[in-house]
Amino acid sequence: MTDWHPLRPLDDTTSTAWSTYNEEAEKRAKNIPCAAMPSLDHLKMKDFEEVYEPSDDTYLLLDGLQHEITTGTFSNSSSPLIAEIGCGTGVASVFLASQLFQQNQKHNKTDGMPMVIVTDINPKALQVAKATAAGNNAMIPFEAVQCDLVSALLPRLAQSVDALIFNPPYVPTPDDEVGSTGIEASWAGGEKGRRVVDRAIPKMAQILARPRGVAYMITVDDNEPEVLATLFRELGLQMKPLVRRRAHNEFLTLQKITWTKIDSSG
Amino acid sequence: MRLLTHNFLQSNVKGTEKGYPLGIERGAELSVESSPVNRNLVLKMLNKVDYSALVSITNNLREERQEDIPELPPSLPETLEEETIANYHKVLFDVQLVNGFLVCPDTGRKFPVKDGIPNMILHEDEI
Repeated sequence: MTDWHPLRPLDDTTSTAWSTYNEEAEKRAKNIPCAAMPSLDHLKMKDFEEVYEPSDDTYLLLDGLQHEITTGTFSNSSSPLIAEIGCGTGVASVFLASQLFQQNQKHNKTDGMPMVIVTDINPKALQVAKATAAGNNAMIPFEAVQCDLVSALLPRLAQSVDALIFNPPYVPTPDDEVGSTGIEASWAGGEKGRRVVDRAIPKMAQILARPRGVAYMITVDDNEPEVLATLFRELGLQMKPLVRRRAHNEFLTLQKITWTKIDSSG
Repeated sequence: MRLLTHNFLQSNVKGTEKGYPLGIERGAELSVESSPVNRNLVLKMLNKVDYSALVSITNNLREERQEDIPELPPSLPETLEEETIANYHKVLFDVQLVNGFLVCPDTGRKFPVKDGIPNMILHEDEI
């Protein structure tokens, strides 16, 4: 199989390797058990008027993270710093941190406690996320910062985050719907659903630990994931579909982003 | 927010040179609650910490809360005794800023902290 190369033109005939990756990701998604959702018992229906309620994209993200844990991606990473951009209810980072914590306990390693830091532009989301953390595993240090993407952590925290999670506002909308601090900010992505994602990519590259840091990001096909892959590639990162599933009228993909081997000496 | 997070945060207000480390305005509401020491996490996070910023904020806070907050060595020792690790744990994870203001060292811009959540959002004319 020829390796997919991000610099090739993006018409259908030359991006066959990308479709192969997508097919593999769909198969992977079918073969993994459903991840157990962290408890959201502390939330009321009213909270979801202000904070994004976990939906198909969230479930795919959790399933993908579970796949990563069971296949050993994090087995050598003790006390990782986990960060989540635009955390919403916080279920994704709480899930990853709790699973890693439990895995360590199973192996009688009490000393591999992770640490989580999440951001959101919506203050209500951060309150909810803190409550999610406290309601599920209060032992794990969980910190919430209100800021745009990871702006308040850079450049101070450059190359420091071991696992980065981003479920962006990926829905294509008119550009003027982007940039609120309310619940619209959780989904409104502007043209091609890319307004926020494109801004985030350089920040993700900046904050991710080298060479072992790993990032996970949800995309839909309208975002033109192949183009996103070229943007990451220019920064020394490889983006590849991990799990993929149809949800209503869109295809959701969880992309896995790692440093390419060439750059991994850094 | 924990002092570890304070150590990670910076101000990127327009006109800022470094924006780091942020001050904590006097009179801020702190909480200090003991939690179990996790040696590995302390060592891992010390790697990511700006040490002089940590010592300087610790010394500042000790002016008001000397009995709760341990003194840290001025430079990171090469070998760490259990007691020293416990002190780092206390400073990094147990001391929390609940309500108050973070202050940009260059511009004086204040960032409010409410219920442990710092608001670092910049207005359009500050970017």
